[in-house]
Amino acid sequence: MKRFLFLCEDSECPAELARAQYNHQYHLSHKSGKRNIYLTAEPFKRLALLQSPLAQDLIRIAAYVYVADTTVSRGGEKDILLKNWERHFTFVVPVSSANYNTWNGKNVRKSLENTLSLLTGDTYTFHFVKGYVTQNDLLFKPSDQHEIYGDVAVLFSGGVDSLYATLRLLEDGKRPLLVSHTPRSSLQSLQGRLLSELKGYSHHHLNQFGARIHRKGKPAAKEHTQRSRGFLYLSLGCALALDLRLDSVVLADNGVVSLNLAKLEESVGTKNSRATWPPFLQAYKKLIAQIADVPIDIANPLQFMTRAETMSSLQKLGAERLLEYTVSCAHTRETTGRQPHCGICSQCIDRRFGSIAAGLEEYDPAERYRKNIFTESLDEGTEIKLALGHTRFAREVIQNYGKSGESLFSRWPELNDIVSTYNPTDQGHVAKSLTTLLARHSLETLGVLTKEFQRHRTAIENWEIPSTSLLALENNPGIVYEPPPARPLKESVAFALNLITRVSRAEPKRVRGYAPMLIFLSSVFQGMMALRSRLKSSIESSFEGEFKLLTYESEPAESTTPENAIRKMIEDSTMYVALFDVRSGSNVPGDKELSITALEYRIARESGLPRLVFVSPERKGRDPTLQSFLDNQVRDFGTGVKYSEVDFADERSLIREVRRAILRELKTGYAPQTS
Amino acid sequence: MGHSTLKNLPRYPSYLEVIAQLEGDSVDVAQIAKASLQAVKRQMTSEHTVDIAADAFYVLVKLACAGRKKEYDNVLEELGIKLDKPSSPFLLTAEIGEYVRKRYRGSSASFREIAVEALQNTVTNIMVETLPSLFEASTNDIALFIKSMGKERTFEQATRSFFASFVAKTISFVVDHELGNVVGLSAFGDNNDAAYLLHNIDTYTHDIAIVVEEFSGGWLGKTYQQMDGNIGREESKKFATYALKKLRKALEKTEGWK
Repeated sequence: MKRFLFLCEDSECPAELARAQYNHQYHLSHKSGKRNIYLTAEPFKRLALLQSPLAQDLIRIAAYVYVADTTVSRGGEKDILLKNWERHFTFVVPVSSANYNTWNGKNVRKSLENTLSLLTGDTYTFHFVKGYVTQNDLLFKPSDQHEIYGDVAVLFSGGVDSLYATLRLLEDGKRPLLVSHTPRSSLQSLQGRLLSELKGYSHHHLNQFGARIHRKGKPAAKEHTQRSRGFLYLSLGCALALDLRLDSVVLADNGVVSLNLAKLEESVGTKNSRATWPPFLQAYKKLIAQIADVPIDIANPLQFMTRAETMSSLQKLGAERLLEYTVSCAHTRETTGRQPHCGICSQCIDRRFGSIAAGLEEYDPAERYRKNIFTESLDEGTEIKLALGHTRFAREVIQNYGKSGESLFSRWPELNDIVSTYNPTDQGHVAKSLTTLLARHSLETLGVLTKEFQRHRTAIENWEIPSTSLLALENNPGIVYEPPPARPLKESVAFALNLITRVSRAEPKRVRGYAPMLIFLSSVFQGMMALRSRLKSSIESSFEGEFKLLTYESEPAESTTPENAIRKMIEDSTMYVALFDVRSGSNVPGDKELSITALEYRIARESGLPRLVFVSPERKGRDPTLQSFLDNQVRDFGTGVKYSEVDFADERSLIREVRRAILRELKTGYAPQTS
Repeated sequence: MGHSTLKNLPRYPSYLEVIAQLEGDSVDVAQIAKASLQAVKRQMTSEHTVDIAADAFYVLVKLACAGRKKEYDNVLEELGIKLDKPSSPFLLTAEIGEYVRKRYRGSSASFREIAVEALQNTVTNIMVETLPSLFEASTNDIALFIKSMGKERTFEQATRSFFASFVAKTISFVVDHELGNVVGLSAFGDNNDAAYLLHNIDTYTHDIAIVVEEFSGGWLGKTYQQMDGNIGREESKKFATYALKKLRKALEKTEGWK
């Protein structure tokens, strides 16, 4: 493997690194005079952002990696066995003195190296040196002149997915701060047009922070795959979050693109990009958790949605007309304003199929694509292979899915790598959701192909279709598939959860980032504190922050009465979970009949919350007041609930039952019905 | 996002026969396989590639050894695999792939990834056959799977599947660099024909790989006994080298599988 040394900002090579052999050594600098990295973020500068040295360090590291990635070739066109695909980079990076110990910590360095390795396939060694001083000539210059309002950073590329994610956040009452990487001014103007249209859908001023980071001068770029760009992009969002102390970063990429499974046999390893690949996002989350003093959640809300479903959902929000302002193309350098899509890159192909499947061609017509893959000649090589790969993949998914969803895991074993990064207790569910996601996407693809065969039937019969167009190289799959009108199937937990956040709030509250769904936990304290704590941590970790189990003891102090605090907690919640064992617990002061847990039950019922009640089967020794409450209130035929009997001594079973019941409630109570 | 880097076969003499086979008027799977393997023979038979395949096979051997013991945790830990409790089939499959990747990071990425895919593909297939459900498997089911790997018959199937898959994926990897370019201009009338070829390469290689299955079960039983239940990397490598050579030879000799 070839090894390369990158000395950043005049760093000297430490003795222990100097002994190693390198194929080449480079110097990188963003400072004027020696600049070979263009690193600017004018809006950041203007709006007094990135005062945090840690955020500045993060962006500089990401920029060095991005430029190094494009500096060294991966072997070129003829290295088909990928002998030189993977490279080893050693970086010597000066960081701010205040954060030197953080960056230089063994775990942080290991996390950084692993995260980048997962994303790019390359290997890395980082050596940090002290003493990067935030100077006046820094491009991220603080100025303290403006104020910014917002609660969640959204990576805004100007494509359909990031548009939809932004609209959803606005719909949820959030104030997104849009972060973009714009290596070229043409991209900036495309995003600007969409943004000005998007402003009509927001009650607030929408801030966009566009950072221009790219290589400049020598050495010239030798590699265009840019696998590390995902790290840079995400780092921009996280730097903003670090600086403004936001707790969420949203990056939106529809599930099938995010998985980016190999569509062709030649696509192995990182020949497929992994910018939003779930294992990469998990690794990045871990890194951020190690360097940040506050937790930052990184979420892809479209993980279980196809492109067509995202587009249909856009329509549901009444924003389908914005489609024409979005650009998904990977080749924007070669396109024009009238035809902003090349039509033949993987993004354009996926988008074209998506908009036809969603019935939104009117807003994304064929004329906006430089090449119509269905009816125009495709060039030999990448063009033809991407188009055929797209449809071949769909057929193969359907063939395998027809046997069983499990056989998709044999055919594309990298699905195991993806699913394994989720919490073990959720992996089965995630696995199923991914298989149905792939099946829906494939049905959409084959449905569109069938439609196109019908649409161009006369031209095909008259041999008017070029012999290297997709319709000439494919055969009619004869599949008629109408995707669910607006939303994906109910297995899509992430979607269901988002939906709940939206429908359950009568009055949207100002929250920072994605608000987790609140579930109130009711039980007596005595003898159950440990169980409450374990239940809370288990439920919260199982759903990766989508839920928060509200327990009285874990909430901060407030200058209100306990009764009012309890009432407020329950009213803020969207679900109520109660555990009743043998004790009735303390009574409400002044009321000999009413226990605090019974009061909580009553408030939940009056608030119309879904109530999930778990009762231990042990009647012997049960407090008669509790038994009477259970018999008369909980079991009441007209107003009670269908409770579940679970052995409280078997904690694992109890936790599993609670999880199941919550999920079932979500699906039956809230999840969208599908055709 | 969602990009893929694709390449055509370079017009080197070694690849010209593959291109000629794909551009021909009829499809001969055996000839296409032969030409593809011949094109990458030097790289595929290099010690480094054999080491990668042998190490991936070593994982199957270790799983078989683990399946024959009461406590298998130590055996897996030798591979650096530490299963959390609760565990899952996805985690185990991902971990064994990571074991191979870690050992060969930075080396020829194509053969390493092909070996990892062949290994994970084999393990997943056996899991699907062994477990009541892959999606609802419990930690106990993992134990059930490992137990089954200790059986001679399962090991035979796993060995055949792994080597067949490794070779078939290598052939398809070479072929697919060019296959799209010849659809509509050769015996491949449309994309379905192209997909059918890839499917047939898989079936063909698996058919021929019976030569590996035939002696693998016996090898496991004998070596396990000789090594006191602890078959090492060296023994596995000897087996893998022999198996790969035998399979290659068998594929070279086969004619006319269409």
